Amino acid sequence: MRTIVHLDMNSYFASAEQQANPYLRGKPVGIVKAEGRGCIIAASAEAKKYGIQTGTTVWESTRLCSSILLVPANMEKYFSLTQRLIRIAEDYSPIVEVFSIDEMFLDVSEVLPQYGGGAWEIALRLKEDIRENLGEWMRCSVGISFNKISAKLASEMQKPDGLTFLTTNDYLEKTESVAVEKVCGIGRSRTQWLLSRGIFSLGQARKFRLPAELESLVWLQGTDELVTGWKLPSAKSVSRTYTAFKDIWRGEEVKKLVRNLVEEAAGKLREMKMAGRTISLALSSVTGGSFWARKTGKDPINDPSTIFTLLWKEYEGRPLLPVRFAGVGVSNLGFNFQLPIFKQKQELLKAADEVNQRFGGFTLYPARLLGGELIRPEVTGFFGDKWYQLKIR
Amino acid sequence: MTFGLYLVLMKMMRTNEVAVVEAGFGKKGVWPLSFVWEGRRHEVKRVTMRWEERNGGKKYACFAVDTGGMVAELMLDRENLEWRLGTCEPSCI
Repeated sequence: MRTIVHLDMNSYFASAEQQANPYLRGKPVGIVKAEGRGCIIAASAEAKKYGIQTGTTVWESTRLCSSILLVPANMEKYFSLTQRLIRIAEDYSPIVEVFSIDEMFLDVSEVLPQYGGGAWEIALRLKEDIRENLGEWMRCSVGISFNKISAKLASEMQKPDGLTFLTTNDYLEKTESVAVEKVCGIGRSRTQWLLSRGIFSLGQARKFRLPAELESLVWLQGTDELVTGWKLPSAKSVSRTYTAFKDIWRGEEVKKLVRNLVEEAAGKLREMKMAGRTISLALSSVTGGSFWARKTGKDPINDPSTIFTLLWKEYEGRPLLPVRFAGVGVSNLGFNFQLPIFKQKQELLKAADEVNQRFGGFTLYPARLLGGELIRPEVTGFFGDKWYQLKIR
Repeated sequence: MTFGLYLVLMKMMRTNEVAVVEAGFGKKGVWPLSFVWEGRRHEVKRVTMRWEERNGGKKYACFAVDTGGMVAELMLDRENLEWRLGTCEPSCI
């Protein structure tokens, strides 16, 4: 039986800003992507008491709490803290799975004998080390159990600064009254399915015969095997999306937006040394109109101008205006490919990539994007195709 | 009301100007002790956070500091040992 520890930083982005600026502590803080952007991407514990959470619009958050303080996000700061968190975790176990920017699993089964207090001692020391290294305001909830799903649920059960142990003897009893949506893997649609049948808690769910995948989730059956850096699967797709502040009515602006997203997606592919055979474009407007196109070619590509030309041709056949949302995707990915582009173009892309890697994304960009606001790459809480940036062992 | 709140947010000044910083060196590495801004010397009462950032191809060691009357971000270019003042805002919010 393995012993798995799940570590979940509490209100991570907001806590980081409160740690950096002590005068924000104890106050309702909402982190926004940039000044003027419409949604809260992280809320402090104090702001959450007003019902403010990730996804709440700025307008709504000021309605819920007139004293909320809005702070622009600094993803590099949070990313840097996560890299230090990983090093702290690795002091306790060589088997660490980075689940997201603020969560990780540790398999401490092999190191337990080194700690007289067992997993409890490891958890308490971890919390102490985090406070000492990252700052006294940086708190985490820790869950300890025999598999990942139970350990993650355990950390959910007490926030902030929690420490919860679910053993094989007591995990069913202790999780009876836990809301179904708290289980990792029971998302919106599965929650709706359960709620529509009057099932709100795990205890209630366990009284029913459920579809197989739901059954294993409510009984907290899952793997105890962690996915460490070198075992992480390659990305299956790369996509970039953008929601504009207001409707885009001009075709030229839509063209720039799509070209921007393609540039970012293709750049990411080349950074991962991958290319894809399937490309897709999705557009939608608030009035309900939508556009979607997908093309699969014989050869993999990662050249942005080719991807853009193919997708734009599809759009010109069925143009949609206005546009509020755009998404570009490349899938059917692979390594070790022979690209169907001229050597000269390949060298040009390589040189541009080197400049952008050294001086920052979009230092060099296509002329078509001149004269407008650039949509730049950013780290978010979900690593997706960015996990390799952590340089995990 | 929203505009008023954005005014509170906007009090934070982004400067990114080269700064004159007095620093200490020891087992913990390097840390700022004081800096000069707008002709005044500000003593760092405490370093509240450290992290790293990349900007324009350079790697910076960043420090959030509290002077008692102000919270600021100082950035050290490790390559040429140049300090920059990133942001500063009054401690009263």
